[in-house]
Amino acid sequence: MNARRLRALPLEIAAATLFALFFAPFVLVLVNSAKGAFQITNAPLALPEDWSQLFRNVATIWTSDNIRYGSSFASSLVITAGSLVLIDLVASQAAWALVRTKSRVSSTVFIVFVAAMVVPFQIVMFPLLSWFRKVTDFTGVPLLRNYAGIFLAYVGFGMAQSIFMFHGFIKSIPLELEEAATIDGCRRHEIFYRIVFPILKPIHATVLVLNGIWIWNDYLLPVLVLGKGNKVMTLPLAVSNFAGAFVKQWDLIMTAILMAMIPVVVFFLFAQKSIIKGMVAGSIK
Amino acid sequence: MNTQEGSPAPRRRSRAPALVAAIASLLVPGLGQLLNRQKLKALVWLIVPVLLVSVELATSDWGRYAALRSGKVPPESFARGAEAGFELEGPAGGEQATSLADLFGTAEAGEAEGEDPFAAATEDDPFAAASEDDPFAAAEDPFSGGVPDLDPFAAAAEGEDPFAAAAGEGEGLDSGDSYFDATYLWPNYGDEGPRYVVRDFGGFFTRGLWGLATLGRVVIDDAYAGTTIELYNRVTPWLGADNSIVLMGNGLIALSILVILGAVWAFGVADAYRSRVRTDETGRVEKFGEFWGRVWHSLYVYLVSAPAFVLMILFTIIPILFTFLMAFTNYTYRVKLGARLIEWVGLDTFRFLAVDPGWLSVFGQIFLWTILWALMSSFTVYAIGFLNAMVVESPLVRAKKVWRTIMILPWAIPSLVSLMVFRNAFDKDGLVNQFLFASGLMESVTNFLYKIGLEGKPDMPIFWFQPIYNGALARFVVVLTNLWLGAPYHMMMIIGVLATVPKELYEAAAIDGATGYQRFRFITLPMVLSATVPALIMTFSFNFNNFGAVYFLTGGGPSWDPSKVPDSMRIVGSAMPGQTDILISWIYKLSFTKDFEQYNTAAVYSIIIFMIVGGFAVFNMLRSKSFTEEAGE
Repeated sequence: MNARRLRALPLEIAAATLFALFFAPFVLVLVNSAKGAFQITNAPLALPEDWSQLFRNVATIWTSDNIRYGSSFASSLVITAGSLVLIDLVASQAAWALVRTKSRVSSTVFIVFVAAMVVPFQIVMFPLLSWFRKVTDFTGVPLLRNYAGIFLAYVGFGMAQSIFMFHGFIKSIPLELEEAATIDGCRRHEIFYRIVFPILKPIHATVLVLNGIWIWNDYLLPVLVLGKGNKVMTLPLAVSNFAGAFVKQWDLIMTAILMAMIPVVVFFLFAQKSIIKGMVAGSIK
Repeated sequence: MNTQEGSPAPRRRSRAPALVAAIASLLVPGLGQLLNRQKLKALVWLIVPVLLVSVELATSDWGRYAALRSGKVPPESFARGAEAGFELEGPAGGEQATSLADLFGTAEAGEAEGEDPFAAATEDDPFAAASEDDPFAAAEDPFSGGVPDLDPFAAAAEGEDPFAAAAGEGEGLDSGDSYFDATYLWPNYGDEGPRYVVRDFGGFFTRGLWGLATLGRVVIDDAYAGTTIELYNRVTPWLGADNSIVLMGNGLIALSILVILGAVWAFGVADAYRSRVRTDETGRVEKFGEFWGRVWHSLYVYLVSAPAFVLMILFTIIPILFTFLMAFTNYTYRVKLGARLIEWVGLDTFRFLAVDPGWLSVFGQIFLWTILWALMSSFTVYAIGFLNAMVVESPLVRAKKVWRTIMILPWAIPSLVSLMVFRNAFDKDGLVNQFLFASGLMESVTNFLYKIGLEGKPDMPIFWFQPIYNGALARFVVVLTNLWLGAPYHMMMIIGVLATVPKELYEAAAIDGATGYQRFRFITLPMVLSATVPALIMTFSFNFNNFGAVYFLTGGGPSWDPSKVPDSMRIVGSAMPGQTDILISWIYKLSFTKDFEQYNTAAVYSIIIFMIVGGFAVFNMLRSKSFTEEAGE
């Protein structure tokens, strides 16, 4: 037993060091959120003298017009949830149709999707804005500074990868189930929604987790499509907007950062198991 | 199949009508089907030319053009300018000048509105700088200075359009009842001078293609067709200056619709040929119902995947085509849209960038650093992720769940937010320096960094990102920060792989008396490596383009040594890359640095990135299981 403890010691030291390194930024953010403007510049490393300052800071952030925490949080939630639902429905159905139809055209379509996966977003992002305006001119649908544009953009950019993941999974599902359903008189869309869709549960989890984390944390696309200081802001956008407005007030910025972290941290603590499961299923192929 | 095994003579005879049908379909969609005695089907394909022609006509002024040419409308009575004999209220030149001033005035006003009202902060504060050169606060869309941003209705409401008014006063318009007819002005082509009939009268497709091919011909203040071109005219579009970017966008839309219609057309040709062959073989004509049933059956796929496909074309394919096209133009900050035109220059930009020693050397250095960065960051992230996973999964470590939760968190929070914290921490008065001072380590750390060559001078406090001589240090810090951001994802992935390693292997190894290190070296490592090679390649290409990790942390700084900036690169001004800039962030600077935009150069570098990253991804996909199965079918 003692020898075992001894052998574990280097590992535990390594673990503790890593833990400290990875945890330090969180501690710094938390500790500095509870300081006033004076103390944070004087003693950024010290423990706060008065923890109740934290609540005062939170109250300031909560009422700040630059961050509009409540509405930004709601916008983030709406954008993430809406995009995820759209991506999941459209991608799973398209992938299923592509797997189950064997023709030259359908494999060409699939290859085009795969090819789109290869395009880095950063290259597309430069002409995107003027392109959105162009589309608005043509169709009359306003795409900038509103939900419609960002939903469509996320579905457009998230689609390729999601179809690819669904495609790989659906191929492994035996055809017999669907054939039996056809014999029983199911129509095609019924087959999909009643039989195939539920079977896809594990890969749904993967697609939702990966896209969800990406969309919730994304900054580049919202800042291009929604813009800063807009009525509709996501949380990262709101925090950077706030940081731009309260340039020197690191006490408040730290509190804003803390508040932006909290929802994700809470969500992770509760859903960790299924997140890891979903992540792992998708990332190894 | 049977006919092919027969003698060649009858086969040739039997194929001839099919070829005729195919050629007929090629000339007029649906004609081949008509020859095959499939009337309904012929109608289906006839939609293609009908659609083409009706869209073209509905959006064009070809009717007006025909009237003009046939002499029904004497051009002199409608054209504007000296010959037209209308009294203009002011000198045309003066009007133009104001509208040109309007162009830039409005563009500036637009930017002022877009700016964060609080962004104007003191300059010595690094975060003020952060907010000021925040890419996106100041980043105006490259094309916003152009025509479409002006509010046409505002201008019209102000009644500043002298020509509309002039035309309205002109009596003797034979169809002068409707507003549009009353204010529409015919171009009065002189005997000499250019005439761009397609530009002035063309419809959606012809004008789109014309615009794509020429990128516009006239700009503000040009004398053209008996008039002077103004910036924008709501009623009579041909009076407005050409905006090359708008024309390019319209052309791309027209072109993509044409490509789709062309595909349908080609499908019609193939169908005419095939159904004729089948008819000749079986002796009966396929009924429309059967054909429709066949198509409907396969159409389901396309119906279901159509939304995905359309969105992908809209958001990925067309924008990237836009970027590609830009590489073949001369579009830089010198081209003010509306006042100047973009031109196609072919491979000139590529040639210049490949030949000019200044650009070549800077690009080479940035490129090398990008590769080095991608390699280092991918390796460190993977290695530490591996270590974390081993620690978290080790049976010897207690309270695994707590460790794991903490270790995963950096992945969960928005990276922009973490990068803001790090940016603050590595400030010269930031937490890191404060910590070093407080713990008394400052002197030894700075001496150490100086000795190993990361720091150019043993400063106290350490300037992590600023002075020119600390480029190596800044690069080191960027890699370190990325490690914190990227390791958790890899840890999770590796935890997943570890769970798939068969326990029996370890048991067998234990029986054979393998040490812990041997078990790791000969079982864990190879198993995990082989399972995560695709992910590792993806990590490499992700980091190759990891814009945020560089841009939001250092903004590319410290800046390039001014004495080492090549003369030919001085034109880029503040779009010069910094020492930590990777290719994608330099491209960003080239595209968005106000007053120094180099869109064409940025596009060329974008193509290079696309080819590298795309190459990796394709390579990865070709060897991945899910693709090889697809191809093997």
